[in-house]
Amino acid sequence: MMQLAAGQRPRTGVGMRSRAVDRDAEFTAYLQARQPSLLRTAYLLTGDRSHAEDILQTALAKLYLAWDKVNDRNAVDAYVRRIMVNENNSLWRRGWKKREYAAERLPEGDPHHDAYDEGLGAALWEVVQTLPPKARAVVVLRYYEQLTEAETADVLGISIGTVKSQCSRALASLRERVPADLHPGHREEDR
Amino acid sequence: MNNHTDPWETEMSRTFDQRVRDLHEAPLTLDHVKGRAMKIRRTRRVAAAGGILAAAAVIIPVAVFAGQGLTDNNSGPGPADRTPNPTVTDPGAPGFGYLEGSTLHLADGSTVKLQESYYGATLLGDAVLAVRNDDDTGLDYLDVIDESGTATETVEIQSGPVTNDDGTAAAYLEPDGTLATRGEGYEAAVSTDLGPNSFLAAVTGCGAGADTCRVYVNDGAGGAPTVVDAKGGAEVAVPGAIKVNDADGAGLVTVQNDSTDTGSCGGVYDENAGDYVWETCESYLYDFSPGSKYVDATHAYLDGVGNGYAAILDAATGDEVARLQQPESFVRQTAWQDAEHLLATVYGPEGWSIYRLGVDGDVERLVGPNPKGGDVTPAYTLLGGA
Repeated sequence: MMQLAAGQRPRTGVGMRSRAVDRDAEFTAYLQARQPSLLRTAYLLTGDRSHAEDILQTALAKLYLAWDKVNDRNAVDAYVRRIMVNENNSLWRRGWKKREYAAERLPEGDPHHDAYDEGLGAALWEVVQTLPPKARAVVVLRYYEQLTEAETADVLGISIGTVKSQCSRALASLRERVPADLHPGHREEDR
Repeated sequence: MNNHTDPWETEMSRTFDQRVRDLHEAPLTLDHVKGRAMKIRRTRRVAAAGGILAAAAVIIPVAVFAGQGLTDNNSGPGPADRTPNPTVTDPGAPGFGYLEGSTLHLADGSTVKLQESYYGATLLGDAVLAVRNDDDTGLDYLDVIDESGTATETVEIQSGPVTNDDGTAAAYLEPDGTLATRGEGYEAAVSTDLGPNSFLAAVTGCGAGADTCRVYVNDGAGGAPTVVDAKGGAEVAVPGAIKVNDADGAGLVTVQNDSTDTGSCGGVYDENAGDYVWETCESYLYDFSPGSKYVDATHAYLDGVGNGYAAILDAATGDEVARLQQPESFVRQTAWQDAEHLLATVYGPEGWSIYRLGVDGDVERLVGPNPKGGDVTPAYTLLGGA
């Protein structure tokens, strides 16, 4: 979890300007290095490219506001992920959708298809899109970000037990709702 | 790093990877981020600004401060015009219902102990329709609760419930796309083909003996809001709308019709005239008061944490009548108590409170403060609140 330094005072004059320049340079470097990865996570959380950019923009903006207080630069991604998850949950409940964006719109493009997929990926994605935001966040962090149960719990501010049960329920939904001929076991038998 | 053993876990990882493997763009620049950051900072300042000279909750009759600037749209009051501290009222018989954890407080002051904690609830006749989120599944469930506090029926829901103005009918959406309506002595599935991103805004009619039954449905995926009738027929609710928030049954609808990086626009739309009564880009509109003389609203840009203020607007003109704004606080939820009083749950330095805002500018703190739950989980939830 990101640590915030206490007691920092605002800078003034030339020092402040210099610090602001340094901060923007640091932040730009972070933006360039991490934005594609964070956008991928945002997309998986939302299932919508525009919405993904929206929550990422908000999360990065909040990070920018807190940038001078960040002690542990290694924990910044976790901080951004948590803001994105919270923002996504909040927006979903409030129905606050379809903003327009300062960024140029880019085509969403087709997902990558492996030759052996045979439709399972599409079926899984369809089920994932029906999961409530909280459950979806758990599976994205666990199975895309490859976080451990403890790390996932920490990012989301929930118990490890809840992470386990959310994953279990999500997997049960897959088994139940993905057509039987696409089940992993069924496909193995066919080979 | 994980080593998943269940083949479904492996397939899930593979599916996610496939979905985003070719997504390498970085569309946001530092300017984009700073622009949003400045907006957030301004919203936070708006929420905090009221506390500079006023000691507690602030209610602002608009007639007093017309022309002065404080809010994010520069239409708000100056600190010197703020009224004194609110009245603190004995909550013995609050005159409205609310949830406090797993306790249901009724309007007459009696309480009912519930078996679960709920994040939303509304009255339907003598029953309470309460919504909880299951931490284990992340799914939302609607419990129908009787007078003893016992859940007599449980339904997994995707959205709702919403109730009509006289509280005789409710609608909710189930995950399989079933749009259900129910009231005393009847239940009906209106439509069964609504999508996973649909969520409900309002229901009109539908009660026993009602001539019409209309459910207003928003599309979280960006499609147009629709109105579904009793036979499942759907039509576009308001041309060009992004979202509908309320409908009064007489033809008036609160609408959001634009959304930008810095705010939103909307208005009150008259279905009978096929045109807007008025439009604004200075407020985000929620619900009509009983009788539709007023509509409650807030600033046009919604930040995730809550709203900087709650305002009452004249539904006929869009003019602001009164505003509730507190120092270092935000408004989480609002609900009309009657035709001239708006209730609001507010989180501030002392915790959660319920305030009442009158169209005459009076403000009362009815319940609280209560620090329980921090700023994430409200200590109080208004019945039927937006």
